Amino acid sequence: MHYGDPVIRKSVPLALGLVSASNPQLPILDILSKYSHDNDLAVALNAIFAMGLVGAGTNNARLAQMLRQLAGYYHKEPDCLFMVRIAQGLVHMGKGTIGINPFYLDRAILNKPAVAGLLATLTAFTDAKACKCSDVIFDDGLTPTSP
Amino acid sequence: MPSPKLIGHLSTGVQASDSYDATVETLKAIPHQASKLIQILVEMCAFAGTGNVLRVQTMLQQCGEHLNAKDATADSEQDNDKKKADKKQDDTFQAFAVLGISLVAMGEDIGAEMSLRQFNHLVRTALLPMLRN
Repeated sequence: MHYGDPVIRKSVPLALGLVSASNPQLPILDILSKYSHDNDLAVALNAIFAMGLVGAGTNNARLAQMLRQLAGYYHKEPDCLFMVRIAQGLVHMGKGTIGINPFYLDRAILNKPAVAGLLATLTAFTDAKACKCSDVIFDDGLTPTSP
Repeated sequence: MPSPKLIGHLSTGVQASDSYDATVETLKAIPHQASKLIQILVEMCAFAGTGNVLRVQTMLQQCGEHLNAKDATADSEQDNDKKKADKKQDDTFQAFAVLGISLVAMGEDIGAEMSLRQFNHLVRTALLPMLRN
């Protein structure tokens, strides 16, 4: 049985995060909040990360509240919970003094290295299986890794 | 596979200059599957933040293309070999096509807003084959 086209579904939340990085508009937050409760965990994971991107460095109270709720919702899914924590960190990044929007002067000038950085991160998330977030990024050095 | 991304990042903001055309033409000549992925990467990086509608349309076309092929094989399930060959086909390029839409559209407010609607459509069409089964 085919399961739709998971590749596209997985990358749509990431695209939403890219299209309004550090710009938490209500419609986008609503869409991402919907995807963050998706049955497919990979979609939910990407949506949670995208929520972090959209609110990065904004201290957005509404988004912070959403993420707190998500942390409660995913308390039994370690991978999702990790991502919620990362998103929470992104939202309060620099206590609201820095952002990740690659544009200057009302979108007149584009900072290329900033775009490259965003794109590289999102590229890693298009293949979350190979990335294995919880194994590589969150290795605490205490649990023994398999040979 | 780091090299395609490198090429993509190098060509950020090049747009329709000579170097862009030359790169795309060279990539078209490569018979390997990854060629398509690299072409999309170069295209989306070259037009990053421009809001070029034609590029967005091309990306959308890439996203829709593979779905139809899958539907056709689902209808004729007798041919198992053909199905296996289809399964092997790499669909990573579609992920990049989706990212490409947002990368091109992020340059202006209206374009970004319009892209939201397209993403909504993409998710719905991606669900369709699952609902049919």
